Amino acid sequence: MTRYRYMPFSSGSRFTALRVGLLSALLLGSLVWVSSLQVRCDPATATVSIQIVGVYTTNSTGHNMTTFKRGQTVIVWVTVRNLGSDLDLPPLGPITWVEVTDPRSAPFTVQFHIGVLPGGGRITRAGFNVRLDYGPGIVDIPTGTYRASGFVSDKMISQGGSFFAPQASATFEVSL
Amino acid sequence: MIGLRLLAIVVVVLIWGTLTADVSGYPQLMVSIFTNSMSYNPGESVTLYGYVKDTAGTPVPYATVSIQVNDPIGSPLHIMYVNSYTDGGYSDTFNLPMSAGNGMYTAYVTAYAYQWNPSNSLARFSVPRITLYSLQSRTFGAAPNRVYFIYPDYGHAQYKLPGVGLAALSDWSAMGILYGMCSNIQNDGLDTNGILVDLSSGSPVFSEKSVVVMGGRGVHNVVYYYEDRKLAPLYFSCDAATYYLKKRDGSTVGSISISELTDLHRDIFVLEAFTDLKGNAVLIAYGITWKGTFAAGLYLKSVIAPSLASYSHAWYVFRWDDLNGDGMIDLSEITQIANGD
Repeated sequence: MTRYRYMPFSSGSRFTALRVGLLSALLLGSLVWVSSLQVRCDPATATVSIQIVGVYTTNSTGHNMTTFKRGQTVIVWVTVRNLGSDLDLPPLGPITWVEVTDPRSAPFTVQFHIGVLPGGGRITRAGFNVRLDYGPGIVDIPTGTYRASGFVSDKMISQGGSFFAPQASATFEVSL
Repeated sequence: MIGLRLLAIVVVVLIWGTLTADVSGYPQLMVSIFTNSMSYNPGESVTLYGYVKDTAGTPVPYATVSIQVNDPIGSPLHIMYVNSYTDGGYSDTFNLPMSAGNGMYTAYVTAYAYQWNPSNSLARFSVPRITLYSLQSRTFGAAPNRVYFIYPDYGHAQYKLPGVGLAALSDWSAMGILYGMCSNIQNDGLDTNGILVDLSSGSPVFSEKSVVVMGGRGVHNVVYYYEDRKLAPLYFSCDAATYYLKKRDGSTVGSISISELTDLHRDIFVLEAFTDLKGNAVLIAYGITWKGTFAAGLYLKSVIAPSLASYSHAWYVFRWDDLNGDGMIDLSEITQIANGD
């Protein structure tokens, strides 16, 4: 599912150079190819079109897997398509997140990756390393079905950010 | 060539409009967030809920609601994306991990909707679960000098917070009952003592201790602080005809009309336990009038303490009616009207 969000920019000063460029283009009577511009934007005031394509799991050698044993490492991949411009929201955005919940619906881990999401419909993958134990020497995590959910936000929700699109999820099994 | 220039003008005007339109022209969302309990044990279910409304209080349906719960050291524990319902409400439930550490957790929320200004809010809860019973070991049975009994000052008006007045000595009498329940010598002091209380906010300055306070927010700096910041489970409220005790989400759990209080033959009072932002275990007790506060002390000492293990909730509201009309508080005249976490 894609959620299109539109809010105009409120801070004009950062776009002075852009405006000058656009005015120059007007005076020269030439067209401006907007999508070629690298627009850095305030997330709350940007045109953003993010789609979480999917979530899947592999082992540490990159082979698709959905069944693991306690103590093993699972790589949770979140794939994101950005249909808008390149999305770069410094200092801490955009953020691609993954939450893994255990069979009791308790959060097992929340991890995030901060980095540019190239636009123009390109797909970005982010991989998250999840070790299936509670720590060194402790392997008593519950067995059963785990759920990995991927999210993308403009910045930390704790800093006033918000998620761009509904999460996508995948499940995997953990056995003894 | 003219057509090309015209097209360029249209493109630039459209782009410019997109980039410079004033976001403040949009209406403001208002989002709230609450927890179904002030505290939990590891493994227990946590429900976060709230409402997305406009500034006039009208529900805003289908807003996107982003949630992030941080653990006591500030690391993300849980995230969720939901939409508000047609009544503006939303909710999210998750189970705390069995490995959840002790301390204060914070749930952040952002609400967003197309052509609205977004809104943020937060709620806190603590681990482990705190109840009247669980306070026993941290207050009345605590080691020496671990508990601070903070009395509402009856003088030094200049050190009271705005909206906080001088106390009646009857509040001290009620405190004396509770102090007498302690196994060991404990600390005490006034709510106007800057060594104990930050006089700019009313917050205790110490941490990881226990606090016992009696008297309402109208006379006690510390109670005012806990209620004003919505750190206490319940808070006092009133209108022209009625006094209320309300939960943080605004729902009423106890009320009494002002006219009922005029002859001091009836009252409602609260006993509540919680953990504050500095890790202090807090016990608050007060009535709407001084007789209610005194009744809280008597009831805690004579009825609750002997069967404390059965008091497994964080807060209780009681009502006293002077059935025999003697003006004295008889324990048989006190009834529980609400409890919760």
